[in-house]
Amino acid sequence: MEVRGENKFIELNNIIKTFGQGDSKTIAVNDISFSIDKGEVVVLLGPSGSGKTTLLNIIGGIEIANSGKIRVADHQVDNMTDKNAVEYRREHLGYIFQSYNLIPNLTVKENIEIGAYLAKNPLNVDELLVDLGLEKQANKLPMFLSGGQQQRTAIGRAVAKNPDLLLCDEPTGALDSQTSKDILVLLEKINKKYGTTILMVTHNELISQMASRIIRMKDGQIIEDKLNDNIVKAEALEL
Amino acid sequence: MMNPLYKRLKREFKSDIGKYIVIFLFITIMVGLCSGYIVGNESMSKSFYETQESLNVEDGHFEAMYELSNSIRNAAQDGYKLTIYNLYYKTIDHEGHNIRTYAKEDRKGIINDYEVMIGKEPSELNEIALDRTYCDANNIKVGDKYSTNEGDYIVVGIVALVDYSALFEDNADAMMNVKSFSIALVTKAAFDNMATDVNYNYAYKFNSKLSEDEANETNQKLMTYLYLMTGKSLTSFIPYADNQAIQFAIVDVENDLVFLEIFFYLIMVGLAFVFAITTKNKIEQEAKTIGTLKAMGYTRWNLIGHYLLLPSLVTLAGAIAGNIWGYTGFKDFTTSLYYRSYSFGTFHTFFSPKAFIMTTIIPLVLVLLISFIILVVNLHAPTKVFLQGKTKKSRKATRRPLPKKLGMINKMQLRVIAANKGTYIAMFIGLLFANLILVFGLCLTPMLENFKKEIQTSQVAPYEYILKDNYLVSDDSAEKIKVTSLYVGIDTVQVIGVEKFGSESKFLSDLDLKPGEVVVSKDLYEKYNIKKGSTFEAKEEYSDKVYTLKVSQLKNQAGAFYVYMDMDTFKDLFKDAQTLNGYLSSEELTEIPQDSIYTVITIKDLQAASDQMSLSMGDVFTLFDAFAIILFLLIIYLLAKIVVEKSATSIAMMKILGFNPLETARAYNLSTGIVVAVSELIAIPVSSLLLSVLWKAIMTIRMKGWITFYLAPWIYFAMFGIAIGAFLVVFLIEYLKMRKIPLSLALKRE
Repeated sequence: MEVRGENKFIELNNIIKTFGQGDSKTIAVNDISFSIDKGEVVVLLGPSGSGKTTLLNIIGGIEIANSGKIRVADHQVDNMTDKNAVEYRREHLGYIFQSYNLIPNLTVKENIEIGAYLAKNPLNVDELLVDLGLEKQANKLPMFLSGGQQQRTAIGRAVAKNPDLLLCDEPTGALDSQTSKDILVLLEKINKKYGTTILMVTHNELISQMASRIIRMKDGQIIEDKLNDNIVKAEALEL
Repeated sequence: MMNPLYKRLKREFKSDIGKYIVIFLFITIMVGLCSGYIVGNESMSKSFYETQESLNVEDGHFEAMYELSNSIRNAAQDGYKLTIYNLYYKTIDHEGHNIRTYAKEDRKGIINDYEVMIGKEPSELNEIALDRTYCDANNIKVGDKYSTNEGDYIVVGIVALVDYSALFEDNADAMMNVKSFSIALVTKAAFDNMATDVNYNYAYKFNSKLSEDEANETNQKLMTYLYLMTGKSLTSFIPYADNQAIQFAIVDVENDLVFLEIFFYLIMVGLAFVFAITTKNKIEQEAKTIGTLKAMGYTRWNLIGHYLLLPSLVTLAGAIAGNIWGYTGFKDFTTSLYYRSYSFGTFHTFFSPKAFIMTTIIPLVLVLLISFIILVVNLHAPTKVFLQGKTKKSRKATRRPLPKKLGMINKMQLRVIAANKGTYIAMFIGLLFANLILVFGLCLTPMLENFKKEIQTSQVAPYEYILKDNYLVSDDSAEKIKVTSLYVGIDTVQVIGVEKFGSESKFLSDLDLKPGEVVVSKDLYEKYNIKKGSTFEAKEEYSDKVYTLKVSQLKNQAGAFYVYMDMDTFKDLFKDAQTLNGYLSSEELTEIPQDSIYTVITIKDLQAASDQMSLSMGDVFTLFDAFAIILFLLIIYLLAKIVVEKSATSIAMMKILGFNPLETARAYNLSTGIVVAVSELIAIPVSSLLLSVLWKAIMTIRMKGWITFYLAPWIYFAMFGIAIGAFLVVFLIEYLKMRKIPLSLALKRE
């Protein structure tokens, strides 16, 4: 039996991130500390401007914190060289954005392949296409896909390298409710099938119900961090 | 209210400053070069014609073997309404250089006057003045001692003679020779003191100004009259219009302008093409903004005006800066090139409206027009399409899968190339043009070297004597020939009748002459496309008589235009024409008295053309090379930049995914490298072929003589190397820029 907190995969201590200077200085993340165990599905919940995306980007090594310590797996993220940051993202992270950010001149399959290319033990891209329900779209360019199909492609790209950690920034923000549900079902499936740790940023209370843990943020601070005892299956979410 | 979109211009300029600086510099260099060249060229041309007038240039001259009698002179003067002036000269020797020496008194204020550029006129017996280009080429200065076969002189003046703007020793020469031939002036007393034989040269001037047709007619009549009256002792007759020493320089100057104009317009079209691509790219980048503006009610014309403004301003600024540079700095470079080759008098700068129109108005109109067309075409799509971030409705949703064996980065490279094919086609055309300029710059020196080599290997005999009389040589090894000159096209051809050929001859063993047929040398058959078994026409120099000659053999002999025939055919064909006797010999024939020798042709004379070309055009070659390399850098930089800019978000995304900078650069920058390499593999042979055609056209239409087009093998590698070198410089710049693309770019929500 596994005890929570003994298998810390992500550990944040006193993270502070500010933007601007003088009068225009904004504290985006204000002295935040928490840890996440391997395999957890955690939702960072909060309104716009609460600092959740900044925090996600700090964990992803895209933004650098002003102070504090972050460790993810065996990487000290707060103090990385560019080269180490590349290795860290390559080995451990999958990123999913609200705006998909697919490479426009690559087909669906090739977009997923560029994720697989980076991994030592990538998932089988053809199988993944089937899992994602994209086998018929494999040779299409992203611009000819619906939003849901594009996001599934983006998930495929993130998952193909079999990452330890999937960082999702409002992954359903641009999608209708049914498509959003499909995406969340997919993420749930990935968590179960591959044991991938998922950290998802959202402002949607309903989505947070599928997480094992909900961290609520406001004005750059954590105002609540609780385990979700009543996890709702993604399929049953009433979005 | 001012269009609020104009407020974006400054920001747009700042955000894309690299591109605009590159385009600005490109236009500045191009315009500066061309306006400088045109101003220098036109001013030179204007100064030339002014000097011709003020220094009383001849309407023609002729030379006879003997002094012209007064009766012939007076009859010619009265009959053709002209004045004949004695312009005798003596050819003295200075370290193997032929120095054609005149008495200054024959010229000063009379005919074919001169300007003293440095120093003074000679006034003492031991003083001499020499041509400026010759002095420059031989590093001779005023005050230097000048030793000749007539004794030592002091160089007191450096002069420019109005009838010798180009130092042609013989009007039939392919090129002037500033290295070992000069005009000199001495006092009349010094001239008379010289023991060297005098050449009976006469200049003539019509008593009134004649039209071109009238002048031609009079020249023809005068020539025939003199030829008949001097007992065929007329050795040359050169009207003003045919005098290379006068015409070559100005024709060269004026032809350069034609070439420069073509060169400039080609570059400008290339530039407009680059503008078209960058404008199209801008629209693609801003598709969503354009969609939003159109949705708000901005018309296509509002947007066209907006997107035209910045390229037009940059072009205008470049043109102004270029003109300033051209008028102040580059003009002097142009004129210095001409001064190095030609003996022009004092030069004055004139404002050139042509330069202004050509280098400022036309580029501006061209850029406006091309950009306008591109904008009209690309802003045509419905608002909805722009709002989707596109500029046209896409037709094909799927792409053919790439082979599985290909690595991911290779797949990306191929997709990047396919997605940017328009940009890359523009790059290919640009590179093709840059290659053309580069190959021209690189090929000339080795081509002249090859020409020299060809001459050495195909020289008939080490000594080729042409005699004034019928002197018979006792040396049995010397082979007798007879010579006359004919015109083929614009070239003078030496027609040689030979007594010995084939196995009987030491020098012409390769000749297989048949009675009534001729053998033609390589330059002649290459230039005039003469084939074995065909016939061609050759015209007599001093009459309208035309000979039709049948070719039995082509002789691989370069360096001059020769027609060989057996002696019987020669005698039969030219029994009424002026012919000279001569000998081919492997040794110097010292037994022939100097009085009997008309000329001796040695290999040194044949090499003078290529030497002169190297000397006069050395800087131009370097300029072409430098310009081609700049062009390579600019084109590759500009288009590689567009590719990277278009893919900035994807590059940021790749970095977030964990691709390292080198992998990202391989995917996006190396695709440009692949296109550069492939473009070069196509452009190098194509540009070489284009140049060979161009070269033949220039040589045939414009130049007397012939230099076989030759491209040294190393040039192909050099061209490829230079293009790849230029790419690597750009790769490094773009690689560093790519590293700076913020990851946050991929995080922006649209």
